[in-house]
This record gives sequence, C-alpha cells and structure tokens, in this order.
Amino acid sequence: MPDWLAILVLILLAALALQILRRARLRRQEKTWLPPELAGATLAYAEQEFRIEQPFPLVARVDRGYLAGGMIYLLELKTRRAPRVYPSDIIELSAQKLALGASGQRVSDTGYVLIQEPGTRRFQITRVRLMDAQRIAALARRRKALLFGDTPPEAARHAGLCRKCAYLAECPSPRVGR
Amino acid sequence: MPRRRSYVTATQLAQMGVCERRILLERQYGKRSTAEQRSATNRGDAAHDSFFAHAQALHPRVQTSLPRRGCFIATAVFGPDAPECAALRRFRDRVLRRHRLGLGFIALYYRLSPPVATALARHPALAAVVRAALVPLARGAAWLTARMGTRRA
Repeated sequence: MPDWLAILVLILLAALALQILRRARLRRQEKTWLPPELAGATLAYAEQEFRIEQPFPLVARVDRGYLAGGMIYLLELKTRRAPRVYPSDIIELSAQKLALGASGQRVSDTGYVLIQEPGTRRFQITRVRLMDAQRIAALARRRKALLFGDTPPEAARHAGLCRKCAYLAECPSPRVGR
Repeated sequence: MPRRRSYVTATQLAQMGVCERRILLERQYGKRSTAEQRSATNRGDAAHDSFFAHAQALHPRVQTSLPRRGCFIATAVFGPDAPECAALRRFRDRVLRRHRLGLGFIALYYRLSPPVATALARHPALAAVVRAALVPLARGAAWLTARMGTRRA
C-alpha cells in the first residue's frame, strides 16, 4: 500500500473515531436533560417552520418536536441565568402547537421549556401545560386591537422588565422611576 | 393586485406575555434593544445554532426548514459558489461516482464531514490551513475533469 494511501486511511479512521466519540458525548449530554417520558421518542422536527391561515395567519418555528406514541411534544430552548419559565414561553409554545396542529399532526397539551445556563452545558427542563387554540386566537385578536388602538395596552407585570426595557424613556407610565 | 397576508409570528404573540405597551412603543419608535438585550440575543442565537447542530448530528433525518449548514468541508472553507467547490463537485460526479471505491469514499465523506465543517466554521485559522491544502487538490480535480472532457470530445 502506498504511503499516501495509508496516511489517508489513517486520517479517515481518526475522523470516524472522532465522529463516534462526538455522537456518544452528545447522546450522554442529551440524556442529562431529556425527560423520561421522551426517552424513547424520535426527534421529528428541529427548527421547522409551520404556517397557517386559520384561525389567523400565523407562522411559528419549532425548536424541537419529539414524536412519542403518535403525538408530538414541543420543546423550546431558552438561555437564562435563572431556570424560570415565563408566560411568554407558554404563549410561544402554544402558538407553535396551534400552527403544527393545523397540519394534521396530533400535538400534546404538554410542552417543555429547556433552559440552558449561558456559556455552560448545564440544562434544566420544565414541563408546562399549553394554552388551547381559542386562547391563542383571543390573544392574537387582542394584539390586533392594540395595534389598531381599539384597546388600551396593559403594563408589564414586573418592575424588573421596565428596568431593562429599551423604551423606558418613552413609556407613559413605567413601573420604575426613569 | 392581491393583498399580501400579514402573518403574526409565535415570538410576536409571546411578547403579549411580557408587556403590551412595549409592542406599541416598538411600532412607534422602531425596534430597539439595550446592550444587555443584544448580548442575550447573541448568546441565545449561538445556543440555538449549537442545539440545532447537535440535533442534526444525532438525528440526521430530522425534518427542518433550515438549510443543512456546513455539510461539506470545501463549502465551509471556500463558500458554496466558489470555483473550487464546483471543481470538486465535478470530480465527485465524473470520477468518484464511477467506481465502487469512489462511492464508498463519498458515503464515508458525507458521514464524517459535517462535524469537521462545523469545527472549521468555528476556527477561522484552521479553515485557512484547510483552504490552503484544498486549493491544489481542487486545481488537480479541475485539471483532471477538464482533461477527461477533452478526451471524450
């Protein structure tokens, strides 16, 4: 066997070994946060976009959708220092459920918010109950009414949100002093 | 002329759970963010990229709307429309695909190249070394396929 061919074979074998090791490391890492009920699930969607026209024109991109028992379980990734789930996470996942459900796929009422601590490989997963289609449609109608000036907007629930807001100077009545 | 449909995104709807006033302020003054928010967005984007790369590595057949980025080493170092990529693609189709050994090499290369391409995208210095090494290979491939074409003509 010529030397160059032996070197090429060695490089390919080394790359193959690296690939196997990487996959094993990723699988181990995934096992640390994947909930037991999704342990045997198939990953059906990753960064998949869904578009619907009814009950209102909506576009949603699913971070991950796992298929288990003929049902899709949605998972949303967030990077946060505190492993806290916010109402906006539930709304986002529920809108994804509405968009994906319209394609004829059965989607579970249970979703997951996976929180990654920034700059680390530490994850924490939280199971959440998703909102139904009527509530999401009502939210979309309210948003439209807000934008048309038909209804007054509500302020942020927490002062902390105002403190970090880029529109603090222009906000008519923030919860914190400027 | 038909009116274009205006879609609301799941992310825009999610803002309703943060602050409704902000939605109106954003419309009035344009999209704005603090340095802290921009930094958080960048961190989030990087985490999503990595999360997606992991999904592809573990589940290659997963359905996605995103292009399967960085699948090939030459694409990662030269860019998808570079002449070197075109030369290597021609070499793959006209030379390698005609032989059983070549087909085996292509299959192996397709399995191994995505993590290498991802690593090259992260390390520009390494990408420069690989680019330098691939240039003569691409030129050789171009010369060989051109010669084959002349012979056939």
